[in-house]
Amino acid sequence: MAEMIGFDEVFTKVKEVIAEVFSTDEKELSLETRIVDDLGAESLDIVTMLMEFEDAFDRQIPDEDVEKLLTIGDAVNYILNFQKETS
Amino acid sequence: MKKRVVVTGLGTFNALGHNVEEFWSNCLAGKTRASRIPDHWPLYSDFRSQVWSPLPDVDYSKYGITRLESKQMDPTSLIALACAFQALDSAGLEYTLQNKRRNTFSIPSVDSAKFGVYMGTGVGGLSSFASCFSHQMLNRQQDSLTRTLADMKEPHAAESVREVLERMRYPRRFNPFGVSMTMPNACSGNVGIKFGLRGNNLTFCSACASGTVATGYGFKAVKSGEIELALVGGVEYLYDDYGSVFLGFDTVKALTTDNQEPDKASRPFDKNRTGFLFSQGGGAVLVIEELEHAKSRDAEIFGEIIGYGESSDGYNIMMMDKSGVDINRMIHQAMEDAGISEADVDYINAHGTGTPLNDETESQLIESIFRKDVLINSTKSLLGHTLGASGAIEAVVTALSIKNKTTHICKNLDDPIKDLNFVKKVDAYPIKTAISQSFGFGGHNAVLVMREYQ
Repeated sequence: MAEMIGFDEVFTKVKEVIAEVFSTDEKELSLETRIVDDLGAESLDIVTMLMEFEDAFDRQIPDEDVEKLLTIGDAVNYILNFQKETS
Repeated sequence: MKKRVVVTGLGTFNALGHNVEEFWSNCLAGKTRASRIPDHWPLYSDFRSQVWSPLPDVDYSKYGITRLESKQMDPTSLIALACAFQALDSAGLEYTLQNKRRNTFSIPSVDSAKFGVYMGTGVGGLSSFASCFSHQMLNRQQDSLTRTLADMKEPHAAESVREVLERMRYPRRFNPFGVSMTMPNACSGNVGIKFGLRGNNLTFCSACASGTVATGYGFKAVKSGEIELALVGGVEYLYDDYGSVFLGFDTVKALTTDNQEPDKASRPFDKNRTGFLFSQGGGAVLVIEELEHAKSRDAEIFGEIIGYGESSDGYNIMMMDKSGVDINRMIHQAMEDAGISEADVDYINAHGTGTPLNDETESQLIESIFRKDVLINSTKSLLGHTLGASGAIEAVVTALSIKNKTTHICKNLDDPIKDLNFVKKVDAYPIKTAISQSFGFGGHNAVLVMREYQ
């Protein structure tokens, strides 16, 4: 089982994943950044993002949970909560 | 009016090189990259053949392919892209970044609707399918068996279960890109998407003739004026964790059983040949171009494709017709297409697999059709057999042999089956006109005729 990590590290890793998937600068990303509306995510981008979250956090994320991830803040909170539930 | 078609760019990645320069240098040095099959394969089966030709390590980012792309494309597409980037660089066709997020490009100097892609592959994304399938088959079973193991009391039984669990090799995730990785046409599709090419885009699946067929159809489309340029070639990737693709060929006794010295296992046209050396894969892509288009941009010309022919044996799904009657007919059709006679052919890049049947049939045909002094070699004597990629890699070798007036040896040919002019040493050869031929399971035969550009 993957180790639990804190908010700052989760936020940093989430930004790294999003920056790579959407070819954007990490500095332009905040907790409020909207994944579809601001980054223009399409379905394959979302699939890619989930794959990268799974690799970055060494956890399997159910496909249906993608609907909970509207902003980067949602993703950070989801992963923090998911860590607690699966630890 | 029919157009002239010239080769203006070359790219390859295979067991002997990450690029054309490295590959050609290794060809002329007579090198082979062969070794024992992966250590874990014999856990799953007994193999007659114990040798193969693995690909070298590759960092696709050096070809402009991103880390994410390399996780979402089958190796056949990655190899196709690596070769296509090289071929465009070699042709002096500049590409500019069009979409940063998609990592896609455009080629501003050409009409993209007149730029086609013609690729060949024997098995396409079979490797990716095998990965997806093994995950689907084993993932839950392994979880279940792991829980069972936890409750087991008897040590020997537990050890056996542990051993089975360790042998279950599969990716931890079912790749959501499994469909686009598996489909054989992904190799041409991804090349077209990468460079925004909107002309004809086709993948040909003709087993070991695929790369030659793809190149031939690209040639015909440029010759007819349908398109102005094309990226043509072939790719293959034959690895799976269980050695099952290898086993498929081993079972039908197509593979070499010269297991003692891997570098000597591939011996086309030798009396002691025992089968072909299985290659992990590879690929090649050529830029072919209408002559006036190439001249208008001062492109370097490696050679001219002047003819193409194909036929079917209509005989057997895994054995060629040893009468060679349909290959003979095909060669004459190609020479007629090229406007040459058999006396004009200086060099033959043979199919030369090293199987008893192929080499016997092919050498008899060559002896009966061509001049006694026609130069012959088999690139498979160095590389092993890359199946659907082989015709394209051999087209690259043929173009370079014409351009450089030399070619590589026919390796491991200690006792030739016929008294033909097999290349025994790298020397200066007056190669002006050449053919490169391929024959595939299914009875597919194809041949390209190339000439020095004048």
